[in-house]
Amino acid sequence: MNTLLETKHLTKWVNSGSGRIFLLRDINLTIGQGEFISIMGPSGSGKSTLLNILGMLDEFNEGEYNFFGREVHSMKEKHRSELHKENIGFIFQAYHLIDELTVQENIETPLMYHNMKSSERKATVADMLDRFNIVGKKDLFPAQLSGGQQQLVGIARALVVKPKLLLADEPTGNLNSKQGEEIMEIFSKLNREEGVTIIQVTHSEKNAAYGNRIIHLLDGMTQNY
Amino acid sequence: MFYNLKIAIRNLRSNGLYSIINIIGLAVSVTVCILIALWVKDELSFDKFHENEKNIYLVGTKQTDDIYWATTPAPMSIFAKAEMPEIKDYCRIAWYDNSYVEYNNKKFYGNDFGAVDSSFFRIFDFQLLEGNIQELFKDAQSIIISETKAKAIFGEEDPMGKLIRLSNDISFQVTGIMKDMPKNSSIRYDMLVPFEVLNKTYGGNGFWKRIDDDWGNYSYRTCLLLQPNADHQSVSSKLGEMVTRLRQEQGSGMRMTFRFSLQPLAKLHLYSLDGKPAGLEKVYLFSIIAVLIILIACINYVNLVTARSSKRGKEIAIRKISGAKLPGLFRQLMEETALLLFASLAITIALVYLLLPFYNELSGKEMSFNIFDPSSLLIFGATTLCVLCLTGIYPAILLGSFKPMEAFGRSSTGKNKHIYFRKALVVLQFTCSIILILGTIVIGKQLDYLQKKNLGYSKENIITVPQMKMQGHYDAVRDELLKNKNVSGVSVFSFDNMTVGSSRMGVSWPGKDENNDLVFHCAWSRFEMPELMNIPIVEGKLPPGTPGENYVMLNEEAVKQMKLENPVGAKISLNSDNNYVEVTGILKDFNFAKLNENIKPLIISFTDNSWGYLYVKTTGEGTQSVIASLEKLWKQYNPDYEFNYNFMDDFFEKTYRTDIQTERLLSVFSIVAIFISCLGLFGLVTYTAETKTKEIGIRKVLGASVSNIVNMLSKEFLILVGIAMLIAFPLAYFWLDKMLQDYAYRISITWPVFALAGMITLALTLLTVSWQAIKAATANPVKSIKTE
Repeated sequence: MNTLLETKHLTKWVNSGSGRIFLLRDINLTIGQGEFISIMGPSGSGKSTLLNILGMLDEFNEGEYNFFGREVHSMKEKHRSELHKENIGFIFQAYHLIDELTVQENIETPLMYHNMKSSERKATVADMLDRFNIVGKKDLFPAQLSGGQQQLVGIARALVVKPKLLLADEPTGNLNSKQGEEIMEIFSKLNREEGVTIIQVTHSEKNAAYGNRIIHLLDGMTQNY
Repeated sequence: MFYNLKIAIRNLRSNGLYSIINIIGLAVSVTVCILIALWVKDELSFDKFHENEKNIYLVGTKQTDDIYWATTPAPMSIFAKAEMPEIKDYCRIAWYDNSYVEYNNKKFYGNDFGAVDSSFFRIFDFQLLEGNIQELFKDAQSIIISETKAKAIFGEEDPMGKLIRLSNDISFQVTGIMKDMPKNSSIRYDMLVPFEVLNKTYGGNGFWKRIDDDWGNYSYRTCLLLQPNADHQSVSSKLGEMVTRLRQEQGSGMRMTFRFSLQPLAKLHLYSLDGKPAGLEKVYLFSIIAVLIILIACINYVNLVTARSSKRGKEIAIRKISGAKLPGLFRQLMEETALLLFASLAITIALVYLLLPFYNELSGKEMSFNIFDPSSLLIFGATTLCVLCLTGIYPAILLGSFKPMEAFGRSSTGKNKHIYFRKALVVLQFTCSIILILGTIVIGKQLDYLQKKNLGYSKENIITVPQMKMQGHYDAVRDELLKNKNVSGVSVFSFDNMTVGSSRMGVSWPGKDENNDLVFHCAWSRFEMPELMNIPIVEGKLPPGTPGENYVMLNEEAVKQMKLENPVGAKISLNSDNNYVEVTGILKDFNFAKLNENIKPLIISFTDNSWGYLYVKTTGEGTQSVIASLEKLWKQYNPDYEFNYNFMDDFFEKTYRTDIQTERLLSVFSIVAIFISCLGLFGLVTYTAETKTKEIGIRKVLGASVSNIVNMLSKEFLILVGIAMLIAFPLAYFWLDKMLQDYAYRISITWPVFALAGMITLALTLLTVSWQAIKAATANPVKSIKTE
């Protein structure tokens, strides 16, 4: 199995008054292509921070981070955001859809930043709508959808650029258990059938079990059981 | 009350940036508004302080339908008063040209002398401090002097009864002291002498024996005081009939019809003699600008308050739920506006006092501002009330009428149903600003065009000096000047700066159509003039021999309008008598009036004894030595006069002074307008960026680059400014095209002007918007998203 990403001694802190508060400390991870990983841990353990760093949205203070054989830690901001844009899709607990845009437009947004032609965009979005069975909802605004439906749009939006890595920060946190299960089924199918690497943060043992590996975090450090 | 005040202060403080934008915007605009109001007040107050203001008229002589003289012959008013009961009184006014006053062997320069009838103080409300109104002048050698001049000349002494000598060597006895004539008076003199004194120029050998008989000299202003109910139209036509009749009775063989017009004194300043409201248009223009600038600042306030209404909405909703009634909320919000307004008014007062000296210089006036002066208070109060209504009422009603639960449910992404209203207001603001910018550009270009326009002669390196007593010694003066190697030529022209201030009718020529009573401008000169000024002779030649009375030259326009077939050699009569002069040549047309007018027919005579100004052309080097030579000659011929010289290159500045002032004021006002507009835009962008923090974060996570985000935020505003341009361009074109009609020589308004205005506006907009947009776009998306 090829390595997708690798971190060595990854550390992040914030300065607070006299001392440092460590958010992440000495994280060493190796994640292969096609893995489905769940990160678990109590509130404040650094799960989301780790996810954001892996997604290249946040910076870290020490250590190395190699993505697809490229050194993220020594990269310029511009190249880093390019790498992020090409390879990573994000899914949020609070969906974070743009309220003023319709379902269709929300899904289309990332494609616009990939400089795709309008006709091609339309076709790609139509595929996505079809795949997630939300063609009938394409002209609705986020406020007109249920939480589960909104998260479906969120997933569709994350996948529309065909990312190598899908990062999900508590994707089912705002959903009821039935909707949660549906989302997990979709993840698992994506992982199995299309080989998308998935890293999800979750509080639920049940959801974590969908994955093939679990990373436990406590006070910014990985725990090995 | 104190509770509201406390909350208001907290609100202003917690929204620091928006409060500052509003306070600065309002302060600057109210300042400009007050400065303009002072200017307008000053303009409108001209000649309004006379009690008889409504019944005083200035008589103008109507030469043709579009040529008026503001002067009349001296005897007219005497006859008119005897014949017409409508005329209660009259007063003739003339310049009494003297350069200084001498007292105790000391000379005092820089006085304006007027020769007036003794009715002067009865008709006009100038205040006589000492002296007898009933017997103003004891004899023809009496003089009234102003308070300031009296102090300058006599110091602590009592001036009454003292003798002073004028530069024309006549001694006058002081018989009165008057208060200085106000600055906003069209009639302003430092010293007054009786009108009869002008009789001294009539030696008894000329055609006319006394000034009161002289119907040929149109040099005197005539003011008539009419009976309260008199119809001035009928008086003016009666004047025409009277003069026509009298002139015919005199048997001069004149078959001319004389026409006069009566212009109310109060309109003298703002209207030209033909009734065109030349000055008034400027008053209107600036008043409109003042209103526009206030409007722009008020729009800023309304826009920022409504934009932020969703934030305020929650506070208002809670108050409503707690039982607040609409009037109470309305009052609270109005008080908040009032507080902000008073903060800006404090700045305004300081600004007005600070800027007034510069403003006076800019506008060429001497205005004063005293906040406790009733009229200042009125201007101030009215402006404040207007602003309070404009800025306060709409937001107060809007916020007051919130439905509480809607306010709670409002999402934080800045969804707001008033967004279109706000956009319309921004478009309105920028429309005003763009029109002002265009106005500044076009007027600036027009002035530039006038300055660079080829006038048909070369004005470079020409120094002019009045001849005064050099007149008659021309050959000696010229020879002396030519000894200076830096002088390349000398000539004489009857007026300064190649203008022509004299005209005549009744010229006859062979083949003249009796109905074609042309008005000719007349100038006197010397043979050297065409060459000195580079005015080509297109046909014929200069008169032969020594300068004499028998030859003239015409300009092309004269030939054209006279329809002369063979102009060279034609004999014409200047006075409709039987003295004919011969036309020896035709000069190429040159502009001898302001460029508001086309070139008119011109007759140039060449006399040995030509009066007027000495024109000296230098080689361009050693100007100082030429001036020194001139000064030496001046001291020789005119020892009693101040030496004054003029460079023709400065001519432009003097001639178009009011146009230049208008342009300068307009450019200042446009800068203020665009500044305040951008200030408001800055506030709106800041607000938009704030409300879109989350959306920007999401987009960045989805792969948007900084430039994507800046584009997204700026595009909306650039579109608004684009719409404003589309509205402003035709409006500005309409206005400016109309204004340019005042100039016979004018630029055409072409697309580069619009392109320039558009680019300036777009650049400023982009600059304003991008700062905030970049700030928002470079923010860390992780933090933006977390704020949920």
